[in-house]
Amino acid sequence: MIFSKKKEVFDPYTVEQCTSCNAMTKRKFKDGDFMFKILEKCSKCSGTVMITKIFGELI
Amino acid sequence: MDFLGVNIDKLFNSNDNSNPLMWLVWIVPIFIFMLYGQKIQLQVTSSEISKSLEKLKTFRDETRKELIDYVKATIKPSSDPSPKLDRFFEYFTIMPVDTDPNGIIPKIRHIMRTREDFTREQVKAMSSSIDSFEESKIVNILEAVTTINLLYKTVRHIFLTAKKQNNFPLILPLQMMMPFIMEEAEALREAVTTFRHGQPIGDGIGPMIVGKMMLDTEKKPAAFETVWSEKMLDERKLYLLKAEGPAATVGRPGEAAEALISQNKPDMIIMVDAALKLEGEATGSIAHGFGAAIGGIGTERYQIEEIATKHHIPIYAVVIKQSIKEAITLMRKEISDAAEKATAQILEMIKENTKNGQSVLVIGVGNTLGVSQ
Repeated sequence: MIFSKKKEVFDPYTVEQCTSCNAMTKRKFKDGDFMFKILEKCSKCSGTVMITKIFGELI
Repeated sequence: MDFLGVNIDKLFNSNDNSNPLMWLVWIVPIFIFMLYGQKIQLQVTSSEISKSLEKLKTFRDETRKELIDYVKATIKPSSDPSPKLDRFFEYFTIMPVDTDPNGIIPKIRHIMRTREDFTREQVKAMSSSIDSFEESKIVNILEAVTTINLLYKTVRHIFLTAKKQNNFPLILPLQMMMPFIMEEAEALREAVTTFRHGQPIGDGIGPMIVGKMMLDTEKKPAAFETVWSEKMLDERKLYLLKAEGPAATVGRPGEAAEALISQNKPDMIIMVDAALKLEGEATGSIAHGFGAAIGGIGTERYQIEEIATKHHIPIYAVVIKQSIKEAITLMRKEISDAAEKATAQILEMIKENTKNGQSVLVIGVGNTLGVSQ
């Protein structure tokens, strides 16, 4: 069919960023994640790691 | 050609107009379509709508089951929540008389608040251990299921009435509206999963931008489920306002803005919100404008417009474009990526339109699910 649409599936991802060294990591979203949530210390500089983005990416 | 002794060329002789069989081949369908054309079209359209109606029913049943399972798994109510939730799906709201010369906005606000408060209290009553985050998620899922149920019932009503009365003109507008209805229903169905996981939705881009600006500031309550904070930017004072995240709420920006404006009299108001894009526009594109950028039934917008007009404060709007589906489902990457660019534009706008010592109220409008501050 010309007008038939392919179903789009989006996978949720979480981006963590260190507030000191700006090191970024992208991982799959986990329940309990929310934007600007403070996580554990940064493994590189022991700064604070925060969730800066949560978004869906097309598979 | 001669098949089995019948000369096809002779039978359908296209050169001979007097051939009676040829006449029948042309004339009979014309008469059939003249007399029964509308009924044939009604049958074709009906079968299409019937398929969509089945799909709507599936959406309703699936989302209802998803909500019931979620309630049972998270808040573990003492009794089966299904009968109570089924009652919620059927709730309706009667809008006040619109010919009232004294203004109906306060009445609409009162009725909507009654509905919101009642739903919240009923959800709270299901379990004593429920926290406000879970409660807000359940209330939002409940709204989505109720809307799908309403869509299903409305489409079914028009469809069955048209069939009962053999009323073809009645089914035409329904056929035209079906793609829009199905788009909304599909978006709502997907939204239920997003709400369940507490993921930010496209509509949360406004609170996300202002929430980031609010980091490392002292957050104070401004109204129910709404917070504000102060921040300095190049000798200008910023009053930042958004719904209190990460709960699934839009807060009460109208009431909060009214209080903040009366108290602090800012020189400028900037409202950041998600806006519906036109077909062809890119998701996540940013547009600037004037006026109160806030959706909903209109009570919050009225409140902000009233107070801004009273104090002669200009209102600027910054919107991030997205489709209806993108606005209520998991935030797309394009929308999330637009946040930094929009923030830079807001800061530039503040510097260009205000002088040192002046103040600006920045409001992040939208559902702040999964977005803290």
